[in-house]
Amino acid sequence: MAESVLDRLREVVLDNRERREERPAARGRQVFVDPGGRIVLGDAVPEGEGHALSEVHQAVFAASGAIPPEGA
Amino acid sequence: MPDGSQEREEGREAGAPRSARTLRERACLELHFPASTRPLSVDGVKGYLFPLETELGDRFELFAWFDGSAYQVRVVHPALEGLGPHAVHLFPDRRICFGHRDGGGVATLEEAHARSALWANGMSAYLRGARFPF
Repeated sequence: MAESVLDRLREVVLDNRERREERPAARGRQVFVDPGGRIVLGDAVPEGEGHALSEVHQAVFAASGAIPPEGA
Repeated sequence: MPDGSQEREEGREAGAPRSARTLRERACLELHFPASTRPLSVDGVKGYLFPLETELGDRFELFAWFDGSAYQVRVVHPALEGLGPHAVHLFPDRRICFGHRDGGGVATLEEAHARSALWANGMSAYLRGARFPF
């Protein structure tokens, strides 16, 4: 179950990046986290609920140059 | 930042005004962070220590703070040593590199929490031998 959530999460995030949609409008391509940090995919959030969920901005973590080369 | 020393609960003098940022942080903490989140002041840096559990059951403890221009998050637990920073998006001081702007930080505390959860799940996969998936 947990691994399937992670697999789906990976698919969604990478697909959105390919589309250059870091904050997609389509519910099914949004990703949220609950206060405990658990992942909730957009299509699993009931309509009108989710006020305590935070939407995940799906940009890449580190563009080149953000972290200096090792040994620098 | 927390490293096991010089931690104390953050206090505030009675009647001292709260900044707009502090008020925004309090509202965000109440709505979006776990109830066990603790405000801390470490070596003069005020922030919030909070737990996260990943989909694979790994527990992380993270410290989020505002550095004057953006929110940064440092991994307090587990001790992640000897990892290539580029492979896991982690600066040598165990700060998560969220991106190429704002010194690797993010604009809001809510985003710091949400992006930390995504990072932690990526780290869980990495610790099991996979590439960092995001």
